[in-house]
Amino acid sequence: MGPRGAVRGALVLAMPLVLGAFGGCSRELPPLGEALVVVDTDLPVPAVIGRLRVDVYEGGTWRQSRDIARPDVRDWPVSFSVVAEDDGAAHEVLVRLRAYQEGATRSYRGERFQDYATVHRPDAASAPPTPGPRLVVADRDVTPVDEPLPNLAVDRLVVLRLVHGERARHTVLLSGDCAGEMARLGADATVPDPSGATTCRDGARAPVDGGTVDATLETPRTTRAGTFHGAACPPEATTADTVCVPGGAFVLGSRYVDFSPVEPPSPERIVATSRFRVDRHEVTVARMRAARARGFRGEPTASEGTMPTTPLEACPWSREPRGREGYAVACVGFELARGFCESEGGRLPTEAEWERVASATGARKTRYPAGDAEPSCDEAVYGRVELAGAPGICARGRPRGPVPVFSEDGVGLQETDVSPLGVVGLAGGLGEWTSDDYAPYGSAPWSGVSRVDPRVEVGSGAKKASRGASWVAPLLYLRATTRQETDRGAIFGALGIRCVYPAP
Amino acid sequence: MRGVALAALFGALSLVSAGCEVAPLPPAGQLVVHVDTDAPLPEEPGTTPSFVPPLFDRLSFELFLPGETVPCRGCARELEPTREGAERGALSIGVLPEGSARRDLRLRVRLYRSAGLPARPGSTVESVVLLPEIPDTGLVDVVVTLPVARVARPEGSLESPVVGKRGVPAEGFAGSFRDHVPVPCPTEPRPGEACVEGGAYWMGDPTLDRGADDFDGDLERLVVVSPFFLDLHELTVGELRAVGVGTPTDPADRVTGTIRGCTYARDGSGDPMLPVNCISWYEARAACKKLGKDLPTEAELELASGGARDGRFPWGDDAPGCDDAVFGKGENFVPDCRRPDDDGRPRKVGSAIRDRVGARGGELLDLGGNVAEWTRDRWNAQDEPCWGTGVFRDPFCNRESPSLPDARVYRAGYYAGGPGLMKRGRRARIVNERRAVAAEVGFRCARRE
Repeated sequence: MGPRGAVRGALVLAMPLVLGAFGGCSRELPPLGEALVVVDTDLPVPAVIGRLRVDVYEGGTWRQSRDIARPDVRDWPVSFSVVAEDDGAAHEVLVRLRAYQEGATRSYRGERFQDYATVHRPDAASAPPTPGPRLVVADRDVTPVDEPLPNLAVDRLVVLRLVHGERARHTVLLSGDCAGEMARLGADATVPDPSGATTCRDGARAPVDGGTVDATLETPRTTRAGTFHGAACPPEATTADTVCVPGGAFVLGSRYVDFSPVEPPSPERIVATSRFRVDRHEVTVARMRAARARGFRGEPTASEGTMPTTPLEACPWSREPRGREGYAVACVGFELARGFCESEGGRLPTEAEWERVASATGARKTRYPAGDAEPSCDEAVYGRVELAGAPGICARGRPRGPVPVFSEDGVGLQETDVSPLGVVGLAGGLGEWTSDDYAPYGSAPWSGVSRVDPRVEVGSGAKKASRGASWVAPLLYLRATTRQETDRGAIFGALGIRCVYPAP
Repeated sequence: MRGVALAALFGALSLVSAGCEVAPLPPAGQLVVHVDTDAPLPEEPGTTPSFVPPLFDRLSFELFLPGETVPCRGCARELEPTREGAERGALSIGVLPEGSARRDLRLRVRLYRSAGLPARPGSTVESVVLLPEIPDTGLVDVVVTLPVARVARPEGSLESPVVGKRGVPAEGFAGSFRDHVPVPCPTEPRPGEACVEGGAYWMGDPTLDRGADDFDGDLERLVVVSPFFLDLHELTVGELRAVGVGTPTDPADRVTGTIRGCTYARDGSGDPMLPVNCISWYEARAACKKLGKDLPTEAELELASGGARDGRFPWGDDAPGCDDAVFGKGENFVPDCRRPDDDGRPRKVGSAIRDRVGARGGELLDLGGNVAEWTRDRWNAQDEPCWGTGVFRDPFCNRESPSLPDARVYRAGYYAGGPGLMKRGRRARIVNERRAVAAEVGFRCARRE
């Protein structure tokens, strides 16, 4: 960084002195019962969490609702006070805290107290709404028109007991352990009631408590944002061949796909992947040959002679080298792909791992591996062959068929199709096998899946999920969230291998 | 409300770390940069029911050292501006020196619409200012003015910033942009129509998936529309018969052998409550004219279809279930909403559960689905001359698209389409305004006093 290093950090932005007025610090208040609530999250801000919804209930009635944007990680933890009216009585207050992603809301229709599984039925929107509570202030119905999407929120209830003249601090962590678990406001879904309410805490449903309670009224200045399974990568874990992917949480899927040639990747969910390493490039013919020389017994379908350029037959592998050693190896079934990765000391990635590498290692999830912009025909290898009678959108003026990963002298040829971490060929090139069985996100196999390192098995696993578009695909397939249902035994020239490995 | 209250003032908390310590006084001089904007800032969130969403919900500051094009470390802040925050001075930041860098600093200030995405030029008011030198002692006030009218036209750039003005916000400027306040209709709606209140809204939805070029609508622009009356439902077969104009393609018409699902039959058969489809733009407009009305403009129809509350769909932001709107009855969409009693045609108007927008005069039905609807406008792609970015007042596009002449716009959700087509920002077009018909497209009429 040179001489600039000395200057960096020399300036700070601070806000002017306007703090006198806020809750926890207003010492001029009469001796009301007061609770300072300090809310933090361990999920990444702003990629996963950007807003906080606070609802306050007392005596079975909804008293207040606030919804605030906290897109800057320095604004966490968020704190506020709840103060009892000066009537000398003790108050029991139920506070619902929901940290959620910016823009992840739905209309409020009163389903808020149903179970996660119920809400995630594919036809849930058609279910008759249960009448939820309404927020009425001064005889006006001011119920918020929307509420956080349950699957993209961490939802937590706390109960505060406000006693005249006493103050307490309640510290609450909205953890990724509880992502997508809706709170239940009371035994009767329509009446808030602390004794019947349940909420997710430390990953399990539990009666409502007050968070961590102590007597100090100070607000901590450090946040745990981003620490949920947030294992960093040591520098040496990334090499020329493999890239280390830090552990962390992200939103799997996308609610913004309107035109999908396949099942849309929704509903979304918050998941985390542990730290792992991934091949920087798809497995090449040369690498397959080297593995076989070391004793790997599988063999891809070969093209002897000139390689055809039709999707089904473009198999770069040949029994003897034929000048195609730099191509990504294709025409491999699932078993062969899995066996190859295992022989290399790794395994196939899960769908979640693949999507994290391809879209969610930066500050914000992107639509394509390299960013939000559609890759041009020069930036990624796709649309290189006519499909269903339509000319390949990138075929004009370019050779038909797949493009090698490396030239004969080892120069990378797809290096513009690159993720922020430097993983190449995720958008185009070849599709890639994952270890997961295919099931729609809205279906049963996904609803019970672990939030951390989710894996999906469906029966005998006849249908696998493959990810990533290929030289055959039109543009719509290139989005990082696109999932393809692929026969376990499928062997064709658009599907190859990328392995993942344990991180050191 | 009684019993308890949220006593915290959220706005202030965000700016300095929350706590009981007062923010430390600067050891030496500092700049205080104030943002002055006529944009209506929302009340402290959650204090009032917000059916009128704020035009801008994010304010960002980025400070750049001389020669740098990325903000220095710790020199970027992003916050939600609110009216109460503005009154407390929370739309200001201090710039403090800690070493020798105290001159030639540039500050980029952006007021923008977030929609869950990074700032986009079309919905951002931006200034890049060259700050005065930070004084050794004392405070120097700098004011950055961000008028709504300058949306999409940044003032200054990192290469050539404008010189920062000393001073404090002007009296009376804050919040003086009044066009966002809903304007009621001057008279009562007639039977069968509702008043769509006028106001400012963002036309376009930045989260739209463009998919194919046939459907754009992801570029935003600020639009101000005067109040107007809109028919509660799509014009029905029965109504068209009564009007006596229009020759919608008959299901039995052999000329259009490839079109299926037309609802109007010349022999008088067919359900009169089905919406008319298979009618050209020209005939649709003629029918509205005969009723003393006209087709709505794109901006009008989008305002009514959820633009007023900044929703993605007429009913809000969430994707519909099969009974919520009339859609998904084609063969290739997820979800597959075909039912045994579907006959490959639209359904009776108003048969959806949630595809309803409440307005003075009644509920506006089927703005999302059932049949797509003609608008009065000529097609211009969203980046062609009619549109672009900026502030538009009662826009109506009446010039030919350079790339696709003789095309008229329709708004796209329909009975056989997927849910994404029902998003209010979605634009589509058909070429040949006199002749072209489609089973997807019907219409409703609008009226201005």
